[in-house]
Amino acid sequence: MNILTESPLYIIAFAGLLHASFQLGVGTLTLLSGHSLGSRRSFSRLMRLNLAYLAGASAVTLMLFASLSYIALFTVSAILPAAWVVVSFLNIAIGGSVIAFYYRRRKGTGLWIPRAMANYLQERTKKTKHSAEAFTLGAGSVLAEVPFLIAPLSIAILAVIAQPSHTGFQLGSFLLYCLIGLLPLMAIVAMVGAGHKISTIQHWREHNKLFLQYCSGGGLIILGVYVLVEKVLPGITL
Amino acid sequence: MAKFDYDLIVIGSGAGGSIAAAIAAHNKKKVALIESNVLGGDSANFGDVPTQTLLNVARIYGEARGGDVFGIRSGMVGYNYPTIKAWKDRVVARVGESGSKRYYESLGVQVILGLAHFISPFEISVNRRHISAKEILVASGAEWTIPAIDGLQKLGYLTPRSALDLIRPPKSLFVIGGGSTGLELTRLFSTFGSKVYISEIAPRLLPREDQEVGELMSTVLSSRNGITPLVETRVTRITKDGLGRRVHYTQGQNEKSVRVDEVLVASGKTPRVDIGLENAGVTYSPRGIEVNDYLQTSVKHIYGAGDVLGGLGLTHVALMESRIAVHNILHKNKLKPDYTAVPRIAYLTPEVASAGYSEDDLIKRDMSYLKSMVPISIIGRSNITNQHDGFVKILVDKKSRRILGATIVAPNAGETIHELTLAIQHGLTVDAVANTLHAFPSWSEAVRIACAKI
Amino acid sequence: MNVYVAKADSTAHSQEFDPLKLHHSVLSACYAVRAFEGEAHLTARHVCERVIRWVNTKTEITSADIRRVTTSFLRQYHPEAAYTYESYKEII
Repeated sequence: MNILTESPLYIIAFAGLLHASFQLGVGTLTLLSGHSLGSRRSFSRLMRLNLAYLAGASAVTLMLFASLSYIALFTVSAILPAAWVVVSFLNIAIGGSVIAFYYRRRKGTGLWIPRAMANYLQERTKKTKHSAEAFTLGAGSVLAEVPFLIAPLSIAILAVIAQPSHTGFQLGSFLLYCLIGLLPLMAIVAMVGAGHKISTIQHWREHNKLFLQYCSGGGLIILGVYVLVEKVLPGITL
Repeated sequence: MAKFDYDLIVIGSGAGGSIAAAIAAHNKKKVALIESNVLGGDSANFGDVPTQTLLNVARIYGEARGGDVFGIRSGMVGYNYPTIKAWKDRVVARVGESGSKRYYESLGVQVILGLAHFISPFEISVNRRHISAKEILVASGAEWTIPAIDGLQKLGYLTPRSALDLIRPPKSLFVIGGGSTGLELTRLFSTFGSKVYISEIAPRLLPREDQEVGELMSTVLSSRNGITPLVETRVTRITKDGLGRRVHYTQGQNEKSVRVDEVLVASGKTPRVDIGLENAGVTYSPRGIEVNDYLQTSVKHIYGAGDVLGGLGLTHVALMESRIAVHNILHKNKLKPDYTAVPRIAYLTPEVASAGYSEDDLIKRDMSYLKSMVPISIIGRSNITNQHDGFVKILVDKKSRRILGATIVAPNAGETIHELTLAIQHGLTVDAVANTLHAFPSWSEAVRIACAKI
Repeated sequence: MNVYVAKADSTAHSQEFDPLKLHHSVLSACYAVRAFEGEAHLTARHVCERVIRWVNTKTEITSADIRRVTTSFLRQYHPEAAYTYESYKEII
């Protein structure tokens, strides 16, 4: 198998990109950085917290991808065509709901998550002082967004298990997905470390939130339709 | 169904709130009336009533002093300002708080003295006590706007409210604001011997009235000793000058200054909207609370009335809005307030009164109209009383000949205008008024002549 | 005169307004936008003075009121800090 030309890698990369477009993790990291800067923590402390957050998010993303792939390998492989159908419609549905109501209809970048959860995350972020707490926060933010992340993740999982078993390919897929999916978090860590202001980051997020929303939702729909056309329709014999 | 403490909470006991509270209580509703200052509101305690009381005394004094031409020896006529102020206080006490609280409580209205602050759309905090109501009427009024002039806050200033409590008229006074209130207070203090400078940013005094009014008032005031009108004038800063103040202003390209004892700011009012309206979700701007045609705010169970809506800031308008608001609260069929023929009066010498559209309004709306203007000097009353300054101006729709607007500058204009207010309100034609008998020798004759001239 | 801050949940008791807490939050907002220490302290002091003057005209207010008024005053001294202060609750 030529890993450069095989289509699953592109699907996985695109799914990773869609994973990256979701904002809960980015928002939480921005808030964490803001609180850290506001508390006048030392630069090293700030970076430790941010990197711990990133590590937590990466670990959970990797674990989710790997564990769900493993489970899918034994449960779903036999019914792969049906799984593709389910997953493609799941992506289209979640894509539509992202376009309809990902952000709350008011100023700022507040998401359509239960306010109690949002308040809890804000409180926890404010109280985060240790790297371990930041790690847990990163992990938690990924888990909190699973209802949306399941869409690109499911397609990436199926793309991995659809290929003949190849350790290098599988590991490479996991790393590629996580790397692309966590790019925004890495960017925030880099920007904060480089001396950018939280207000600049937040301004950008607020001004471009509609763009991100439509790209994200539209991307999910496109991916779902692509999968439907590429994987499902050829299997249907009239 | 949610349980509320009251059926209606009224914020403000002035003209915008008092009527509504009384009517609602009369209709067997459980009503709470919240007042942060003095019961009765601004008009009864610090506005129209005390101002007109003092102006009435000024008129009597002015007429007595001007009696020489009629053969009355007026050399010994004088005044005692503390006694005049005491008279004013007595009048306010009669109208203001003393009867109000008992009156409301006798109606079943619970009066709460304190500062109201919205906590949520149905809940208000007053004196740390939370009360809720099914409907709320906001009639919190307005307060005098203090412009951001360098030195003003530091050196102190008078407002139309605090000026009425002076125990003696100032030797010299600079009035910022050439509207009706500024001019009335100019007339008041100049009658009692103050040297008054009155400044206005607009090209004429009484900028809301027609151009002829402003021009005539400038001429009349300039001819009076002790009054200097300054139009197209902007006050830039105020500095200390001995025991008084030096007011620096620009007029066109020129910068000038004048030394005065006191500065009076009468440059308009700002609605009192800082009562937590955001917590209730009520939309407002610095100009006032936004309401629809039925006086409902953006939150359907919250209504507004009076000066807090912005608008003309007139007591009789606030009273009308209060009545309409409470009607709309109590009944399903809602009414709209009618602002077609609101009379506006400035108690000057001569009085200035207007109703309906001004000429500027008609031009802006591109309406075709006919105009008639008649000086009062042609009528018998003017000759009898030796008062010649003034005119009657009528604006009429060109097609229908219905009276659209009217301005009277004459003695007793504040009474005479109501004939034309009635005509505008009920769509009477100019011919109907012209063909109505007007007694001789009354000031109203000028109205008939002006109508007949079209 | 003590001013109280009403809680959103009206069954809970309202708390007395704490000017130090306000000062700290404004200071944090300034630091979050990397304002210099002296500038941050000066800004926080001026803003708090003005907010306290406004608060003293009331008997009871909400935390949303404090946030709104503080933002409007802070905007005059440090617009970026004001934006950060205002948008903290709307990031997630």
